[in-house]
Amino acid sequence: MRTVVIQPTLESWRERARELLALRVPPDEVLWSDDAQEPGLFATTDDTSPRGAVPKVSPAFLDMAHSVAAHNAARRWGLLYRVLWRLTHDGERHLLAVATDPDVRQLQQWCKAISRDIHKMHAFVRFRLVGRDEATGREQFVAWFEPEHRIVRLAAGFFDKRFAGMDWSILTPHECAHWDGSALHFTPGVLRSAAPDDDALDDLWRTYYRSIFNPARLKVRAMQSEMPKKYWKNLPEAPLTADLIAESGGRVEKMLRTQTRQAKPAPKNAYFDSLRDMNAPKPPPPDGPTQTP
Amino acid sequence: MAGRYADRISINIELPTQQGLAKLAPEKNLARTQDAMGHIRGKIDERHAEKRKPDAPKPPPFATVQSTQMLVGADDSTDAVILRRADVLYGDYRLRRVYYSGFSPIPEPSSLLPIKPPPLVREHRLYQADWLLRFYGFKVDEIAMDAAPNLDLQLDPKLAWALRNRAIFPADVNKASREILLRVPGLGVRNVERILGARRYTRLRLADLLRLRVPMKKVLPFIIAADHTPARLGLDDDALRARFLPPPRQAELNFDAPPPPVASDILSVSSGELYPCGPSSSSRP
Repeated sequence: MRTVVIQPTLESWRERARELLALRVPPDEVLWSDDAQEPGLFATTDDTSPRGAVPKVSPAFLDMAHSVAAHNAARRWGLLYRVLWRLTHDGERHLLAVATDPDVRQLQQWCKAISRDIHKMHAFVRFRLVGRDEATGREQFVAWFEPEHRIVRLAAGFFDKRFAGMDWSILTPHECAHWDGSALHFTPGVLRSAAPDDDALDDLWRTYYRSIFNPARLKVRAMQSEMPKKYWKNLPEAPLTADLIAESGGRVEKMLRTQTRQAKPAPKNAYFDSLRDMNAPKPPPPDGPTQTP
Repeated sequence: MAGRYADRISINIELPTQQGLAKLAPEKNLARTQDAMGHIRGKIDERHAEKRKPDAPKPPPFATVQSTQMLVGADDSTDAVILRRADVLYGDYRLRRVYYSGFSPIPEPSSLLPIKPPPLVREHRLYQADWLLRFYGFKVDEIAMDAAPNLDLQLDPKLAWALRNRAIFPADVNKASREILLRVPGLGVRNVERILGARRYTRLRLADLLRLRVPMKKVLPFIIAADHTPARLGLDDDALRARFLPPPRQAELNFDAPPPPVASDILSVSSGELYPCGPSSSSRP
């Protein structure tokens, strides 16, 4: 049994996995640990340098590994190596097609958890205005977010496309992402206290949220599955939902009890008139077929 | 014009029939709306064809997708009428999505509009039917028939279809074609693909399906697996429908996710027994 210490990144795992694979070390002889502090600190490969070519694996496996590497589960590195071993040394080249295999299934479920976490980060990051850059005149925003997994790098691309016109930082406990209008860069994670608490835009956002809430379409469980409780503490609109839900029944009742009014006469304007003209049956043309507009 | 600046275009058709529009939106015209959709479809197709030509100069940007919205329950159109209109829009105009929006009451109700909104579940059933049309190879007439033009609010349309067409079941998950597997209640498109992929290398057992989070109680009467054959009695039983009905009292429905397997599913798989629990606990939304 040997212990392999890596950094918690795919690159670090991949480097060691290649070596182990070339040395034909079976998966049940390896213990993986991902608490290496510095790259290469424990990577002593001098006398065990690999002999022989490293077998190739499909891009599908690498895509999966890319995602799985961001997951929190401690045993992800070991499972990735076991699947890699089965794909290359156990003659199961088709393994990824067997979605019912427990190992494959587990990797797929981790991938799904990652894409869900990324999706929630895209939906739930709330930027706060912190100032304006004197030199460039660009507004500067900061957001605090607590993703479940290490997804900042996987999720960041969305924000630089979507919010290219402002300077922003997204701070998380694992890692922080920053955009200055030209490039994304990453720094280590920070504490919650590093991020601003509240700003004037929050009130605007809460007013908007309250106004678009439709009491007649209340689905509490769907709401909760869309906005799981673990994200509430960082969402400025979350405290509103309890009241909005509680009031819904009464608001709808009131609408249903309200006396119906006559249909309002159609407003007079040129646009409506032109639509009515188009709808009116046309007199038959003097000769030949007409062209439809 | 909008097509140059947006990647999706949406023209709302609002109601499935001209009569409905004449009553609630007299300025709107169904034929004109469809003409406009046809025009957009032409532009999207044209752009798509140009993009595929090698060496051609990059064509000016144009939207790649169009969608629309239809109101449900504001006029008296049946689900069959709504779905037939959607089918035309998907087929002839290549819409990517039709959104069904249940009529919802407003603070100052108009005498032209119904007082009560349709049940939220009706919109949900329409979306389920819409998925069956687009991804499962169903035809409108199989889901909403002239004899019963509205969808069953208690059972999802695929299960309702399967109960009307029991003769084609059970389907063997290790042998049946994709088309047949897609018709098994409880098997979604992705799981059908997973089954087709995995069965080339292994014979599927119930534990495999459970691992794919297939809702066991729903599929068991309709499938054969390496270690499971449903009792013939089960499929012929008149009470089969009753087993799938929701319990009498239900506070709200979760329309989003299929429920994860619960302890009783696992129990039923390991014991090989179909219905270990009474109807009160055996059906969930």
